Amino acid sequence: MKRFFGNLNFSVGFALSAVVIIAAGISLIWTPFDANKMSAVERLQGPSWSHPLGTDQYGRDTLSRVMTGAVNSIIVGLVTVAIGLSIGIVMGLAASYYGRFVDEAVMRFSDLLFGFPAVLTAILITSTLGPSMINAMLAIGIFYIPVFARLTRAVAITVYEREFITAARAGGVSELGIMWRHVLPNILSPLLIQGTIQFAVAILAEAGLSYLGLGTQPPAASWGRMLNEAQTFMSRAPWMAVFPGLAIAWAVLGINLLGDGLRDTLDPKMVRAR
Amino acid sequence: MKKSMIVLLAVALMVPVQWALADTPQKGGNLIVCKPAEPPGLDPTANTAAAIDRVVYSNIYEGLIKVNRNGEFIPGLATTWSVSANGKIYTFSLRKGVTFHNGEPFNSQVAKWNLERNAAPTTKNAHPEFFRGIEKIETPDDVTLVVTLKDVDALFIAHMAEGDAVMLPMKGYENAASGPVGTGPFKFVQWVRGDRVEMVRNDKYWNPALPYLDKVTYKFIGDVSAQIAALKAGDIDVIGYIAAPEQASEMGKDQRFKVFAGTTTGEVIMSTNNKKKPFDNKLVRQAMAFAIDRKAVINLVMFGYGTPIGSHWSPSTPYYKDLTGKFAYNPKKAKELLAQAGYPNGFEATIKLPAIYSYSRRAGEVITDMLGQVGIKLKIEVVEWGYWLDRIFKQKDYDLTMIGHVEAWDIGIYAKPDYYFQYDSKEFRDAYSAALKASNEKEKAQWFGRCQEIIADDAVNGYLFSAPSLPVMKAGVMNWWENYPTIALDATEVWIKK
Repeated sequence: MKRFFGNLNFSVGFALSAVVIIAAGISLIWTPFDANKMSAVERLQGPSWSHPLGTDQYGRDTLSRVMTGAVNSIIVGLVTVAIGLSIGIVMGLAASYYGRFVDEAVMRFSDLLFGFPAVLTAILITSTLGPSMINAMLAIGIFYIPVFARLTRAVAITVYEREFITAARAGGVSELGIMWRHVLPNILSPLLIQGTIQFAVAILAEAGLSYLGLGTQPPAASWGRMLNEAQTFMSRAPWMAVFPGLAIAWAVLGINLLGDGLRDTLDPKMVRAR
Repeated sequence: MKKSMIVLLAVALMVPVQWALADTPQKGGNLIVCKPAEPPGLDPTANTAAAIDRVVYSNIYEGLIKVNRNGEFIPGLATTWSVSANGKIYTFSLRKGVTFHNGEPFNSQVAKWNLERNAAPTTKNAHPEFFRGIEKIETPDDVTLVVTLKDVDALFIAHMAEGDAVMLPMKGYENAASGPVGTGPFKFVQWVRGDRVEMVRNDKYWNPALPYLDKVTYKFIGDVSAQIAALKAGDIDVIGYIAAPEQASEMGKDQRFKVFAGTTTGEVIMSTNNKKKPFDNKLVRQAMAFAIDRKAVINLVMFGYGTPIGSHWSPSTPYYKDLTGKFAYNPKKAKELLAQAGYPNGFEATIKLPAIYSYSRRAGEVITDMLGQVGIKLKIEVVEWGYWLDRIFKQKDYDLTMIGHVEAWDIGIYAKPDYYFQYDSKEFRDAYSAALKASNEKEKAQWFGRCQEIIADDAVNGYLFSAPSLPVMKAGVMNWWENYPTIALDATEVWIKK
């Protein structure tokens, strides 16, 4: 643990991310106000003691909505990375183990997915399947598959060439056992690093889709949606845009720093290069 | 002393002169009017979309009768009209020497052909019933049209003043949807899809004094903030229809712009699928009506612009009956009725909101909150306009939706069981046909009032508010309409102060 916290990137990233996770956790049991409760008399109020981040055009409390929005963002990050990781690892391992035809097929499939601009295709998918948070996650998750598949394949190929794999084979361990017990643990750290980076990208992508009205649907709070709703009130109620915007920047910065920190500490080549 | 007298005199003389100058319309200039929705075509006799009328009505096309700024029926292509004592024979005197933009003459033959075309079994007209009550049409001469109805129709003149009844030329009508040819003050130039429709002054217009403008462009900008930004940047001159209410009030404070908070014929309602469970239960619909706080809806959605309504009738239309007290906000009563209907814990349903109209999207969110408080959990789905027209309006695949019904005198839609509300009431149909047959003002008021009451009692839809006109324009745009008693953005008398 000390090894991680000795790294500045990791410490700062950890602190920033922790705030987001804690805020999200608290919002599950308590928010200052009901995040979806409207109140005509309290609409468009600036930051005050009772509403520290002000209220929106329906009189909903911005702090409560930013907190609930954090849950939304974390779910999106987790689910999309899970989709990408689970399918990507299987494809990458298959490609590196079988080689030849399977490798070719997996890699060309990845190229195909990479060939499309991710956000545009996500827009296509969500507008075909209908705008919703689940479809947005699906759309983003699909684009993570080649990211993880390629990484898994590249690292796994180098692992397969190492002597201990040959030793394990000689010892009579099954191929599946080798994959599970020897290859997978050795490729986890680059995947973890990649995972945190994609986590941050997913938060941004979901905010983008929601901003376009294709992601999370009202009245659920999502940072991107809040920005979308705030835009016509920019001159009257700037806090409506500023705080969800800050939340996005905060979370993405935090997770990216965390990812950098992980890379610095986990990747031995990086340390030597310094 | 003498000097100051002269100054006073000069001032006294100058003031009226300047006023007179300011009030005299100046000819020339280009006007760019922005409206949110692009029309699906440009032929109002083939499609009911209000977006069509808002571009072409009274600008390119005209009917026999027009509606003036006070909502009164005034001569259009007919200069006078009279009704026989039994209320069935209408005699129109048509305007002489009117030609279409393509040079074809307008006369009683053309008028007859138009009315018959709209009544034909193959017509694409959205309201063939306006014309199917006609028994025969006679044309004793070029400028006289005698229309005999099968039965008395109290709304015949009102219908002849709508976009569905505009006059098209007999030869140039086929391309009306993409290249409209009418008799109006402006000639169609081009339609750049996705962007704008352009029209120029018709030099041969039957009223030589009009129009004042050389050119009018209708530009389609869906996003309300983009509209305001375009107006501020000078890219457009007028936001024609319901500008972003949250910004309208601020724009009004700016010397460079003006805002009109006039009335319209539009009713914003929560349309309800009356055939779908549980909305087929009157108690459920009434419970929803009790759960809606109209004043709060107007404040939250329209920033106070708009008038509460209790039925499908705008306060700006004659025979209006104020029924807003019928289901005054009472969430306790709403819960009781829900329990009575067998839903003590409420139920779940979906509300589909058209993305294009920010007022309906917002009203949907507010209603979702209000109904949620009595246990009705709504799931919001924001849908594209094409989807809305097809799946909701045509195929009736919905629970609830939110939309503005803009046609005046459109309560007759409740008499059609296959309309997308799927409301089927003999009582209403009888009252409506009695209203149509009413021969005097007192009877009309009585029966149209009754119609309003029946649908209010049945809580067919959630009646929310009458939409404000809310146009915002540059201070130099003169003579723009303040109230919208008919569906049009009529630029005929508009001029630009230089």
